[in-house]
Amino acid sequence: MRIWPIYKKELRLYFTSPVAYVLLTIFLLIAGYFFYSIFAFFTRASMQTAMNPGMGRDLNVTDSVLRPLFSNVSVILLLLMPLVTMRLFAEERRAGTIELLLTYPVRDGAVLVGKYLAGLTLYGVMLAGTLIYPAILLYFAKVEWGPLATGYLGLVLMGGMFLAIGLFASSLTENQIVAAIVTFGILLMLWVLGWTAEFAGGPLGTVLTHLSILEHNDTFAKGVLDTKDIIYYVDFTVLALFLTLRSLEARRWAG
Amino acid sequence: MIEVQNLTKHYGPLTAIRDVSFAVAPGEIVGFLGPNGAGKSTTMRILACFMPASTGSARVAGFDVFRESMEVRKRIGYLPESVPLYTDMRVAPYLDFVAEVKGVPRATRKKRVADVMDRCLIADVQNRLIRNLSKGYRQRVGLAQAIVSDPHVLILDEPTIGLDPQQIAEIRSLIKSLAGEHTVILSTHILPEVSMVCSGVVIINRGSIVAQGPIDRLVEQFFPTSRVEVELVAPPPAVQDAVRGIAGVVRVQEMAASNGTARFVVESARGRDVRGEIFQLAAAQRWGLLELRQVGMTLEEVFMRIVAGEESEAAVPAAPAAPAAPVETSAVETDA
Amino acid sequence: MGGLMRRLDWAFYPGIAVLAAAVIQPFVLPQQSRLWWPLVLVGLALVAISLIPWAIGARSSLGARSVRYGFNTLVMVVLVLGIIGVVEALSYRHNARLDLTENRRHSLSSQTIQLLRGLTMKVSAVAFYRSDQPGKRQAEDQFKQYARFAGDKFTWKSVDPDREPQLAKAFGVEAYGTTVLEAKGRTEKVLDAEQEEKLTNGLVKVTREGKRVVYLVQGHGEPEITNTERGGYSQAKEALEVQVVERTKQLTSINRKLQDEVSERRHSEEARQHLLERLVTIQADERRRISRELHDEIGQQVTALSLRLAALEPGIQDRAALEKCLQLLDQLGRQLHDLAVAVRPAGLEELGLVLALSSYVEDWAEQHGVKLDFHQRGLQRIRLSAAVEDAAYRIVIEALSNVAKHSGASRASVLLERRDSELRIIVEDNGKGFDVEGFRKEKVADHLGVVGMEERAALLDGAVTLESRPGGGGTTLYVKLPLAPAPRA
Repeated sequence: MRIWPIYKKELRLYFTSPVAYVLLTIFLLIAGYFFYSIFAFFTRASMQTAMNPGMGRDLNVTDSVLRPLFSNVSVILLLLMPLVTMRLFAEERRAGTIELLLTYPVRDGAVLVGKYLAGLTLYGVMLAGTLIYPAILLYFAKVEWGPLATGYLGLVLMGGMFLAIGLFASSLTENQIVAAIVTFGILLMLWVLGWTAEFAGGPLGTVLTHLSILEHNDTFAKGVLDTKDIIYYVDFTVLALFLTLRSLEARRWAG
Repeated sequence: MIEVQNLTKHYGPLTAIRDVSFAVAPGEIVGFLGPNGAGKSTTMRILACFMPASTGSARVAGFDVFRESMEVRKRIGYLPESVPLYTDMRVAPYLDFVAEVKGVPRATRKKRVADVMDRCLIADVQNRLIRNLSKGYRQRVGLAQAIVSDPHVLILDEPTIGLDPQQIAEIRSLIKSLAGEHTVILSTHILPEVSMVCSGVVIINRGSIVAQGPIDRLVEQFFPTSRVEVELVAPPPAVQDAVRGIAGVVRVQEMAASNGTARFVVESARGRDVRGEIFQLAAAQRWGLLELRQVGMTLEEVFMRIVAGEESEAAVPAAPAAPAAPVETSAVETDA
Repeated sequence: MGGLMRRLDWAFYPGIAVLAAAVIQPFVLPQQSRLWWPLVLVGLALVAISLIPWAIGARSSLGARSVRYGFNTLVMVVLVLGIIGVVEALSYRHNARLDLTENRRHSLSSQTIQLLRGLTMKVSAVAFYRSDQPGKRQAEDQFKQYARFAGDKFTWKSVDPDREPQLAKAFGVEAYGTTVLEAKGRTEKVLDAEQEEKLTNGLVKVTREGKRVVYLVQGHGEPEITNTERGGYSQAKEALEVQVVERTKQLTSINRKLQDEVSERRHSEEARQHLLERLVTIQADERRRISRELHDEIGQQVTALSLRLAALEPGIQDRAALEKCLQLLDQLGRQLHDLAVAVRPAGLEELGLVLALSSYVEDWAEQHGVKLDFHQRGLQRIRLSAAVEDAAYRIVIEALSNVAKHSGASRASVLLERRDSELRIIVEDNGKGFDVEGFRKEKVADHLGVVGMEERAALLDGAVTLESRPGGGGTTLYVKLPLAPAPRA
């Protein structure tokens, strides 16, 4: 399985065009701003608590800084991930390079995995950039390692799922914008499914709640490791990658 | 090396190719000819394992393109018509990538890439972004990626399209140099170069094969007569009668007449060279003999005849076209 | 036939529209949930019909190979979807949870879990939280966890008492953050249900079965309870009694274990509270020290300086300059005094809000020549929390300062009232008033300290309202500060 050359090429294409850098910058800017405001709010709340002890009941670094931070970063990712994956297949189709790629002695699955890993690597760099926030926190306050670790694990799993869905959408079209929009649409639907679940009662409501992303990513931020959440992310990632493979094959038939 | 049997491909209600069958022997360079839209690219894509056929089979380098496609892909080099390259990469890293993907072992990879770049005359741009290369250079990079793994079979879709005459000549000589060690099938609608490079042709029109085989045999098949052009100072009717009288002459056609000189095309049975007799005749009649020459049938004429669907002999033979002009095939549309 | 085929194609759009309606229906017309299934079926049918012409057309031109592959792919996709669905469902039923927070605060204690698993009757919880109340989310998280262990025996829902006040009244809910537990007709109200011990205790109370009384008829030769002979029921009685004792022992031990665990948590909570209180105390000490230094030490120096200057008086020619110096000193002294008071309001801590304020307003009235009425109600010999007293004091001072500086009033009044667990303050004057609306829009140097007052009040979840009529209509300042449940005497 010749994944490695595909991976290298894709990574090279990411980082020799402005795409990766612009995404990184914007992501870190927004995330940094969120971190700053949350931390500033926390500091103010701490000072107020010094004057009025009653307010300090739930005030701690994990619940008041890390948890909202992870939640906000998830939202940023919801918006930015489609932009990471939109070019992976759509650009190849538009430029015609897919005709060469699919006639090389490398399986469709290897192409898929190579591109997926490249997207994952870019995402990894984005996340690594955010490590500076807990580092800053460490300097000022005691950080609970458990929730920090699970929070990042949750982000990694969730990002993996977003990437897989984005890859699938990219394989459906040769227009990058359409791919990004479709990805965003699917992610938003899954995000929001939990709200409609409240209206549709009974078993349907339960099913819908289980499918919603919101329901799952909060437990990671809280510091709780729950197998059902891990399985959820892995499930959808696998499903999206599988569908991508089928989509590649189907497009071969249609030429 | 390439065996195609009853290949058919439908795109929804449209049939692109129907019952296509042909074969290419190892070491041959075969030209795959046809007007635009005849089905050349479709056939090549099927051979390259880009898409599966609806029915029929094809074997390349001894493996079935549908059932053993990975084996086929290891042994082919393919260059699509659009020459799609990763424009954001530089030439050398790109070729290195293709070499790696195609399985060239790491130990020999660098050397192979360097060799290929030399051979395709792109060594001087190896560090340039592909986006910044001219069309000629890009074509050569495309060719380089096709041959970098030293494949048994090369499938080239319109490899000289859009190049200037010098570039075309370069590519042509490169392809010729590949004969023997590689089997090449290249599609084109520039006929003169086919005669120069290929040993055999396959002609396709509207999704079906209309002719195949070595070039001279095809010429014989479609133009079973020899031709001679003669210009005389003589009254045309007299010439007609006289020349017709020569044994073996099938047809005499007047081409132009002015100021007492007349130009004719004389067709005789294949192999029957009537030039001597005409000379004698002219001498006997005291006609001034201005020009007497043998005219070969070009592949182009064969092609036009086939494609236009004309089998009748009355057609005005077209003057041999200049080598660089591509053939416009508007005749296809009017056909039933 | 071609015409019909083409028309069938159009069925696609209404089909999609009907499916979309099915998706929207729960939002727009939730009562018509019966419509949902028919909508979905009709929509799917329409879409399927619209695909017929495509299928027929496609079949004739597709080779057997591609049809077979298409079919294979479809089967594979459906299979994978099915597997994923099953895996998801299983993962929900049998999931393992690991709480990595340091005090395992997101997990239930084993006692609660045991109680929930052993629930034999259905319990429903209705939580009345204000939509932005801090404890709401935690309470809901807690309910979810309870529901997990109790299966369908524990159901819960969240109600916003501001949106549905009738419901709140029906349940007899008076305070935000009340949860009403119901089981077998019994109800139990729990405040602060986000605290696990409170909720579990409430559960225990509401599910506790009443005492069962066994009646035995006597007096006509029936066997007697205390009769130890052969026909007597004394053994039954003893057996019953033994059972009761055992059950009680069980409950007591469970309760004790629960309390132990809970008290452990409370201890760490208390330790934290303790630290916070110490912080406040330290701050107060600091302020006292600063105030004292300002007043006593530095103030004394100023006085001394002033005296010396006065002593020099006879020997100085330039009287004007001397007067000026003395004036400056006087000002300085007064400023120091004000500063000292600002840092630590004189007598506020020792005497309490009412007494400190009443003395201040007396001084103020005299200083500015304004007739001032000062009243209090419900604060007789009662002290409020240090934070509230401090905030109230400073707000009144600021308000009075504004009256003095800008209103030109001749009369003013200050009213303090403790009512319904909140402190109400009204400062009124008969001055020239101002335009409240327009005033807020301009940035007039910190709006006369109004922003400061509002912030102080907001810190304590209180509110400040200003009313005024320009052109001599006077100004009134209303302040409301909520009080903690038990005021200290």
